[in-house]
Amino acid sequence: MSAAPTMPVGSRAPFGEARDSARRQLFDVGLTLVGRLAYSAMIWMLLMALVPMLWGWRPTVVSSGSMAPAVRTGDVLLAEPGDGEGSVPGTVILYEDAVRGDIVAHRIRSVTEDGRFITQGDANPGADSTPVDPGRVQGVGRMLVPYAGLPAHWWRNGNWPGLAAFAAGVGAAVWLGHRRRGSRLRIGRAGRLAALGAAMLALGILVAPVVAAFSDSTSSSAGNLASDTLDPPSSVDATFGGGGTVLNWTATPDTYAGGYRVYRSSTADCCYGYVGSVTGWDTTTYLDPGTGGSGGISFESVATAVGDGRSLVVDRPSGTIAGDLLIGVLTLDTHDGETLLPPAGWTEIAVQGTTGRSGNTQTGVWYRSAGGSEPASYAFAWGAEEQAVGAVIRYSGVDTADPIGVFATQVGESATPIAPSVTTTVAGSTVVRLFGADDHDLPAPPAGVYPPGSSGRYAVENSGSGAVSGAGADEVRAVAGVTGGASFSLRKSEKWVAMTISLNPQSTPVTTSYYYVVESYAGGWVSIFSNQASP
Amino acid sequence: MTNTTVRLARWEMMARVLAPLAAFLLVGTLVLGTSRAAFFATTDSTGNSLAAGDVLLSDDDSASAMFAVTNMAPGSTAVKCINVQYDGSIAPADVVLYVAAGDLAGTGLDDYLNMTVEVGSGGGFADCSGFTGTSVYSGTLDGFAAGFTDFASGTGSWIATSTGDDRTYRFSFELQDDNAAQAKTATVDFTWEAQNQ
Repeated sequence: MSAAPTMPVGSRAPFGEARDSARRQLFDVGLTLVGRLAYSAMIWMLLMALVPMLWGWRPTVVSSGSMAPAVRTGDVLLAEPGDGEGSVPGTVILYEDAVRGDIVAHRIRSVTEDGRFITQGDANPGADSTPVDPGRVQGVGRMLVPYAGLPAHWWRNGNWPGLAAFAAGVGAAVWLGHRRRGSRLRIGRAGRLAALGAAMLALGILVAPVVAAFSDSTSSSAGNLASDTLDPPSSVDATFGGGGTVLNWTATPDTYAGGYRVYRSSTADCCYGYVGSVTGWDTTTYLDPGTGGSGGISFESVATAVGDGRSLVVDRPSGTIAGDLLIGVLTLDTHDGETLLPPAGWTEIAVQGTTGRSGNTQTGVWYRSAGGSEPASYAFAWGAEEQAVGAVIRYSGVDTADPIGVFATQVGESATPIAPSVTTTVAGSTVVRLFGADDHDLPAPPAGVYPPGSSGRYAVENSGSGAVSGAGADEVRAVAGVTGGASFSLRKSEKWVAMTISLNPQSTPVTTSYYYVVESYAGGWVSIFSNQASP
Repeated sequence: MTNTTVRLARWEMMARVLAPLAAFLLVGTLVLGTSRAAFFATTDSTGNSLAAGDVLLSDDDSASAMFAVTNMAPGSTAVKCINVQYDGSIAPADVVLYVAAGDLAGTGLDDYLNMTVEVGSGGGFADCSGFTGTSVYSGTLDGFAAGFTDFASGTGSWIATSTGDDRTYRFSFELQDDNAAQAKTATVDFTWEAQNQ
């Protein structure tokens, strides 16, 4: 190409040597074009970013990339002011972030029933968690001028190398566009062009940046939490016995149950009333007294006394009320059969003494149905000075018209006073077993004196020469029949008198049928009523 | 003046005039194109262009459920920990816990589940041992799901100051002693969300 013929130099050639080849001139023109194109483009971008302000559109500089690639950092986004009403999914709205107060541009993904917008940044994996209230929407994205806000963005973020490159670019573009003859830079024009860079910067200062919020979330399923159903006990069975109705059932399978409550009604499938409860998941029986063919007898309280003289005063058992049955027991150290005198109003059951040369004892037993005003104590008396022990036992639920069923006495000399067997004739009887013995030989502790299978009620003795001892126990006999003998235990062999007395339960005519349900409970939980049973 | 020179001069004149016009067309086309792409494309093209590592959050549950507790009785308790880690490169970022709308389901056990949420360190999904933290919520599960529904209203927040920052959350449930709580279920998803500050 260097061999190409040299063109005559035009008379307008401004610089030095007659030099430029046509090719060189063409190159110069090209550079001019490039320079002018470049800064013209910048001016146009600036104008496009600002001119829409004339009709109210608001320019903002995008300051992060959560809307990439559609909207990038440094773009100028022009929004038409409004509350976004009627916007459809896909629309980009500008709104005030509820948390940070920044202006965010995100795309509407859906609209909730109450008119709020679910938004999402294009570059975010999920929707924004906070729905946008229309009241916070500031405008709808209408126009995007790419890159126009970059210098401003750099300025804001202190990106000085970027700014320097931008300034160099502006300078280079201006210089290229005006370096040729006739295009020499004049002050006015230089100022205008320098203003270009400043204006691009000012764009970022004048208009608010738009934050595009990045977000990501992770979620964990808490899975299933489910509460149990407290099952009721099953196989509830009701039978008469034990002085009432005996309920038995199979425990609920829910071992956290705290116990059971029993409800009763005189009408099937209706109107149950609470009658009592038992505790313990594995407790599976309950006695509802007074509901069967016979009432239940209950031991209530006992008072004892020891003394030396011609009488013994025993206090009234605590809580005595009218209708209670009182059993009085007196044991003396005696040789030859004293005449025992009970207090007024007491009826003798039995008086028995031992016989022989020495070490004899005598025991008497009486009963009384408590009236409305009982004395505070009862005095039992005899003829000669003797040591004595005594007790008054109180029972409720005994048939007041016919309290004593059967009784038997037995005497002996051993360390095991035997309360003899009796044959009861009424279901739900309570048999009272007691003895009086010479000397003071109760085991220690005294509770060891009672026969197995009986509930101990009292054990008492006095001390010294001529002492006596005595104890009493009882047992509920659910069914009528032979009770068998029962042995008390002493520390050593003595002469003794032992008795067995059966008490008849208060009879209650069966006038109604009873229906029971048993529910299980666990804290505040109760099972459903589903297991009605009737005796 | 040669023809060539004249021609070049004309070219130069044209360049001076044409450059702004060409620039206008160029910029106008660009603005039109990007604006159309950004604002008038109605397709919902979200979630597929996340730059790796911008704001990322993960947990250690390996996608298994925290609780699978059935047959709860009055006073029954359930305790579980989960570790949440910030994996993003942009810091600081706020991390918040909430139950997103629709993420609580079941037949109403949430009314009867007392719930405590603690935020701290130590322990993890497999084992709570070593956890220490402070309580950020104490109430019913229902109250939690109603009160903390999104990033703005969420609780248990912390600021991730660098990649790898993490916290452990301990969730404790106790079934109330209320007869109405029998035979009910609750399923719930907890969401942690990170947003750059």
